[in-house]
Amino acid sequence: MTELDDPSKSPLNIGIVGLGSMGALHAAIARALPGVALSAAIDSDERLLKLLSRVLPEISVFTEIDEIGTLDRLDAIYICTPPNTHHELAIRAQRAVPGIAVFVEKPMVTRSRDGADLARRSIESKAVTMVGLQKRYVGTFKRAKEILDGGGIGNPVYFRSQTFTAGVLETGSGWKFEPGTGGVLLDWGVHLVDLLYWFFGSMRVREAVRRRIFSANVEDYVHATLQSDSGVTGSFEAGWSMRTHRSTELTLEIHGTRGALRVNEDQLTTYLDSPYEEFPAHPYSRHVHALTPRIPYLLGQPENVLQEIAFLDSVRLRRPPPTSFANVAPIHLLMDSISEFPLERP
Amino acid sequence: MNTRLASLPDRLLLGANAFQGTNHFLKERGRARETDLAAPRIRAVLSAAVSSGATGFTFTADDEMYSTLGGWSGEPSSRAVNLYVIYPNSKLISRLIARGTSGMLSEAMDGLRFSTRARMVVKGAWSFLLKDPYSALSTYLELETERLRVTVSPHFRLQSILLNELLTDSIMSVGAVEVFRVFLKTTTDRLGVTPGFVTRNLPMFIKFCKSKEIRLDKIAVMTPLNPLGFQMTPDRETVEAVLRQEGELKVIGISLLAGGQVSLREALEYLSKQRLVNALAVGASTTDQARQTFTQLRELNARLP
Repeated sequence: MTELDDPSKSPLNIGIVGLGSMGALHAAIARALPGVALSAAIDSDERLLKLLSRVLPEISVFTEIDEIGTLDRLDAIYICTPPNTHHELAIRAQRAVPGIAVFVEKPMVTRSRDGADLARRSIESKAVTMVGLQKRYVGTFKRAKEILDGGGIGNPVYFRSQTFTAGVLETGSGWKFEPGTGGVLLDWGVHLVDLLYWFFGSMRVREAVRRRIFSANVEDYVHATLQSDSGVTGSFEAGWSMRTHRSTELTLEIHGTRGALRVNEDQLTTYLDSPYEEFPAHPYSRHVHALTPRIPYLLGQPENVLQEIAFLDSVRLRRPPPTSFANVAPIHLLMDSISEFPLERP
Repeated sequence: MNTRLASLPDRLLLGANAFQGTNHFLKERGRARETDLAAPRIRAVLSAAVSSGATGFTFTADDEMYSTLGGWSGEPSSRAVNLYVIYPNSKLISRLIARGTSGMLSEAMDGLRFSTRARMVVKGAWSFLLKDPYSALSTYLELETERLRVTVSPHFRLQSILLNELLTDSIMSVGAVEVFRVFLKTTTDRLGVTPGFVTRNLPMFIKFCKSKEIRLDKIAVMTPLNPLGFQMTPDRETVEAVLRQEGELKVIGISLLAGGQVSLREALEYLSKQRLVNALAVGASTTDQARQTFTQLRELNARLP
């Protein structure tokens, strides 16, 4: 039972900023969970708001986020707009409703200094904040983290990592393809950078290459050599123009002094010198389904729902979730460092 | 208790997941299967499935698939193959992701320029949508169906239109029941097909329908069913219990292999123990696989109570 299941608690009132696919996903998942009311929607497109009002008249709609201050009560807001707006909208939301919990879709910001600013503000205000980095809630990655922390493969020494998809196979337009807001690193690579920070702690870039194949002004592929403060080193690759990968796949291979593991969204495979918990001393795989807890509702992937539950529980308990602004802000230092490498032509 | 009262004209359906980018198999195995599934090969797989017992085909609405089906000779079937088509058109979904809701809606309307009526709709797409979103939904369903019917070959018969799981489960969650009602009315009264829903939250869906007085005996439901409880939310036991109770529901089982975690034989053993579904949909990417799969399914079908 999570905090959300407690019938003695009054419903949490939530609002959604940005009625795109991610805004709709968050609205639907949160609304399906017990003790949550969808109270407000904010979007700059008045036509969308009118349409929403025709279908769901009980929801208050606004074109400006500052207007949420007129509501009797709003406990949490989900910011699902282009990433270059996150910094400003998070600040305006907290000005309009002091203490409101803020969830921001990934990437948290497009510049590390904005991330540091949001982290500082959230620490000062003690408000609950969270960034949508749902890969941490995938059963395979979560179990891999537990094995690493428990010493199942000994001390990690080096890793190989990649996140590939075939999402961009022609020249695109919009903020995802503009410098500063777009590129595969911010769009997909951020998930992998987050997992690497989660697994190994703070990291720095030793070298990086950014290439484009279809996009005019942003990288379609990046690879980098990274090293953690604790000395773990490895390769990082992110590509969104990979014809070899029809569906998105994020893979990590970690080699330690007493074993290795390979993990993606589907499977966790261990190669251990000696048994560790349920993992024997020979190659052994577990499917994500067996590593995923029971969920009350499924939309998207289980990790989307588990992330939603984690955020709403954090709001109820007033405790910071693992991907709070303060915890996520440092990964944008690494992202900035990679982005400083020149964009190479094909 | 263990009896299904409802019926569908088909027991075995070929699923298009191997053709349409919805690969439920493990990523590494899925990549190995991602071969050239061009139109002639899709038609060959369909023929192989039909020759081995499939009488229906289910896929997500998509212009390329319509064209592919337009070129099917009908061999070796002696009667029309029934289509169970999942709406909306997959192009709309990709536009939604790429262009955002507003851009998608404009473009969706823009894509329906092939008839005079559609052109009238497009001319004032937004005002039409804002004035009466439910009429706009009804119009979309009619136009999409018109496009499907004029493109696919006469060897097919449209049996059912199903709302995809993203929409079904989202609409249910936010409580927009009028969308369901318009969908049901349009598909039943104006298009003359069985309305259906794809859901991965069957118990919640049943509860929602009952609370809104939606008649379960009139609809088909496509939902995961496998021995591991994969995508059966909240869990396998609860879904099975609901299926046993709701004998009037027309149920099409999908995700039988639990995303590649169980063999077809294991799936069939599970399904043969209890009569939970009216029909099964299984994908195949080669003609050999289609023959083997549907031969086994046909044998199971004969054993079912």
